[in-house]
Amino acid sequence: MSTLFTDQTTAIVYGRKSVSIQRMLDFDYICGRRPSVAGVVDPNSGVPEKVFYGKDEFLLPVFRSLQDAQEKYNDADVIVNFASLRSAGAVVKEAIERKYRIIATIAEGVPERDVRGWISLCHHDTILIGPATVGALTAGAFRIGDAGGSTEHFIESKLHRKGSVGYVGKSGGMSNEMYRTIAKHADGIVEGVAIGGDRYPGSHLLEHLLRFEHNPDVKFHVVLSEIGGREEEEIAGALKDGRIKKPLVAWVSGTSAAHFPKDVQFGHAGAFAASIAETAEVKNMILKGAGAYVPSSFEELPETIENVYRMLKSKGNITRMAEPIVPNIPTDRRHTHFQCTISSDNGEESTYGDRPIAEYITDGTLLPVLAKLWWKTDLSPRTLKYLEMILCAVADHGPAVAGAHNAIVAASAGKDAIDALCSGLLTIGPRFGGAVDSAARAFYDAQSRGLSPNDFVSEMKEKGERIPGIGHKVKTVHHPDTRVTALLDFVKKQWEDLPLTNYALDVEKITTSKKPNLILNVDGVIAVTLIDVLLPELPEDVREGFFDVGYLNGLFALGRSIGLLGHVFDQKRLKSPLYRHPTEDILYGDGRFLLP
Amino acid sequence: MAQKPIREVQAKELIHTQWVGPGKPEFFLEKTDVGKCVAKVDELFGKRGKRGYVKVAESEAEARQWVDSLRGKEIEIDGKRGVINHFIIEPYIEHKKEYYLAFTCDRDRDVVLFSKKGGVEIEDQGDSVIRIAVALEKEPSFDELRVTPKELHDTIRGLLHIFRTCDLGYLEINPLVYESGRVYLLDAVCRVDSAAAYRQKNTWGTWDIPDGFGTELSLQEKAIHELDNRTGSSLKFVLLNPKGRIWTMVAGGGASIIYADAITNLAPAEELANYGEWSGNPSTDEMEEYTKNILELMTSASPLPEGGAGEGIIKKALIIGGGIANFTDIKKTFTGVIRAFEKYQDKMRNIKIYVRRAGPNDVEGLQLLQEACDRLGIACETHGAEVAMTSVVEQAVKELGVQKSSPVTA
Repeated sequence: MSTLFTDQTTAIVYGRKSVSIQRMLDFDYICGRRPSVAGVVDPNSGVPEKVFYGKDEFLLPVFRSLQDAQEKYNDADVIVNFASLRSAGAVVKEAIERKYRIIATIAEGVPERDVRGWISLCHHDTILIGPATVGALTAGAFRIGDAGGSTEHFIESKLHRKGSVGYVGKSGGMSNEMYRTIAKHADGIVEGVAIGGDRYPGSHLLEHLLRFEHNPDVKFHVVLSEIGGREEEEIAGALKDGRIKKPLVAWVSGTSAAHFPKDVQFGHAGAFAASIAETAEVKNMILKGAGAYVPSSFEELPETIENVYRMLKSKGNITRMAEPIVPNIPTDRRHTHFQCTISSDNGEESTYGDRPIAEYITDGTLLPVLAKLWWKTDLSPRTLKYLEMILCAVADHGPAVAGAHNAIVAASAGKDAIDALCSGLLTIGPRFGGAVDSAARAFYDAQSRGLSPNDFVSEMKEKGERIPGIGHKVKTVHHPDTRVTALLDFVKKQWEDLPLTNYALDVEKITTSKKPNLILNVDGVIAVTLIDVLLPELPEDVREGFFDVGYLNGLFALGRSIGLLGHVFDQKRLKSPLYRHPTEDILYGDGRFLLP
Repeated sequence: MAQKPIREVQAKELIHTQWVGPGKPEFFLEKTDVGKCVAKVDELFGKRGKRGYVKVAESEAEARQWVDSLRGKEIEIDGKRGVINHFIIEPYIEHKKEYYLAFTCDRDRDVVLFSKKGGVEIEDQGDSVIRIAVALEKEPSFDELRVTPKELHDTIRGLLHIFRTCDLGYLEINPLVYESGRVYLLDAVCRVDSAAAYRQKNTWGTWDIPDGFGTELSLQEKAIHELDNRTGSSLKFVLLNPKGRIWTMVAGGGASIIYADAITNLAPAEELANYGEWSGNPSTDEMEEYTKNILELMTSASPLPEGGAGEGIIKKALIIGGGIANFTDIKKTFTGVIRAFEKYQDKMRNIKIYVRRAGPNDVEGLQLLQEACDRLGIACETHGAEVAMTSVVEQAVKELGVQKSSPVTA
């Protein structure tokens, strides 16, 4: 490709650099192209990034690894690498392996041997930019991170539309200054690259000049180099042997070094003349000798650029185009502090997900609504049916269990229905009803670690822990819990492949052989069957946090709310008086143990 | 972050302690009376023989006498002044043949340079230098080393290993001597890649490595170095001429070079007091510290000339320059500058501030700085991207009256 980027280029940004990502999207919006950032990689968090495109706010997907990002966005062929100087290398190497076309590294202070290692690993069709740079940009098409600066400045520098100059320089900061100069004294850049101030940058000046040479939009080159290194000799060679035919304006800074009373390492690592050949004077001379337009100082560079521009214009090589109309980006954009991805009352019609609520009402079944609002998806009829069976199974379990008991005590104390319901719900936790998620996690974890049912049981025994989802107060293997039987029968009939359920039943065989009441209880059966039947039907992003979000306990809470409200209404109708626990049922004392 | 020279004695210590495998050169670390010996000044400059900083002595006592006669002396090398404090004394090695051996870097190759004409500067070697480029991860094959004497192959391999594993940017042994089955490194020039210091803690990473000859640091320079080491941004400062009247605080590695060029173009070089560079969006606190250290040097290191130090007379200029920033926040960084000004305002009566800077939040930042200076009674003019980058240099030089006398008018 004769250009680094087009207006179709998209990138993966490595590192959650919110401001830089936003700058890229603002550039896209001003240029009238689609968003150029496909996704972000943040090894520490997959929380989506809130961004603006114009005035509207969107969520940008964030991945935990480059692999995930590439799988999802295979057509993004640019990596903008914001990793720190110590981790930047691993990112570059992985990106090279993954055959990304352009890998731009921002970090400053990467050891030279590392960057040279990247260069020798590089495929011939991969272009490294940096490290120690702000990056590169193609006018009107794509920018890397902060290249080009803030919106008002890049518009002023005409970076939102193509000019006729190919610019390459070492310094990132000076590239921005030069874009302005080129916009003022010529008609702006086609493409600009800051290769970085290191001694061995990933790509060097000449590579970019040769690409500009093949880009018909580029009418002349501008190069801003520095003291240190001898690459200007290669450029001079290319000018002499005709590989560079377009006019080339160049300046090498660092003439002051000769006047310093001591050795000075300039701010850029590469800006140090190790020999006479690396001084600014010699390099300017070599370039001039090879036919480049070299001014006598940096201050005359704008004039030199303007002269070359005028010359080409008078020859008819450059025609001026009308300036595009620039859309406005509101200055008062504020990120929202509240987000919702499951339903909306914002459009013409209120929806659950993308489907109007009215349609759900017309269908008249509840579980598809639950599936949409809880998991943002539609489920198969048999799974919906099974979920409904679960709700039936957990709706109530008599007045004596913790939840119902609390609700009854609250209701008879005169609290209203909602207070009393909450009082009951608040008992749901690790000991009451809340064991579904932990049972699911325990069985799933044991099976995926490849533990045999026997090993799993022994491991839990060694740790001195109960297996969540196993055990019942009264029911035994001889007097099975009919709720469990009903659920299991349906599942076994409807699904053939039930790996975790079968695993749990094998565990039950072992535990009941030790003690007959160590059966797979309602929590346990709900947990393992839902992993087998529900989990595979969920969308990927929902599946990811399956054990952490609390879906299964939620299912219990939802079902049991029906029963809790039932008890509350019952008490209200009975006009139950305030409950007071009988004193004879309380052990009074100071808690001392009986001593012989 | 750059390649930095280390002393000959440090280079030799590095080679001695990091050596792996056969072919190890001889080292003289035991302190015994060596008899006939060679004493050298070890101060990061070259061509010592020609300059008279190498002495062949008949005894160690004679060598020490020579060393004592030089110690603490200020000398000038290529226009750079510094004090001699480091020496190396080694036994004199009787030998017939000298080789030249150096290791350097190409972009994607390590390069071994070898010549049978040792003891001669590389520039004067002509065609005698053999260049062997070795792929980065590869050991040089026997075939590649065929052009060098077989008895040196192990030594070349061993030095290349150290060159690679110790993150060296350059290593030159000239002359290298092979005598009676032993290898001697009669001199060693070495540059380390300071960016790799964090992973060379067990080799040279914790050594105090100066930028070059004559670069002893002032307190404030040390403070700024420490500041620079702590921050993810960049804060650089080199004191050049404490009596110079033009001081700079320029943003950006590239722009700072161009400002220095502009100043030395228009004014005598000794008027440029310092080289400095700040970039990478430093915090407000870091900018305050950085500015305070510079103001401390500027206001105390060279007192204003007596007599003319009345109100409103500009004696010194501080140029806060820079291009159009990509991401450095002008308002945030200038807030730090203002805080420093507030602390030094009493000493800044004869200083004028010249500002040219642009970038994110530049309008607000420039205005804040101008208002603060007006409030503090500090002469100041602020400009953004509307003026050429180095135009403030011309103005400062003119107002200070330190223009270089041009040959025509002079």
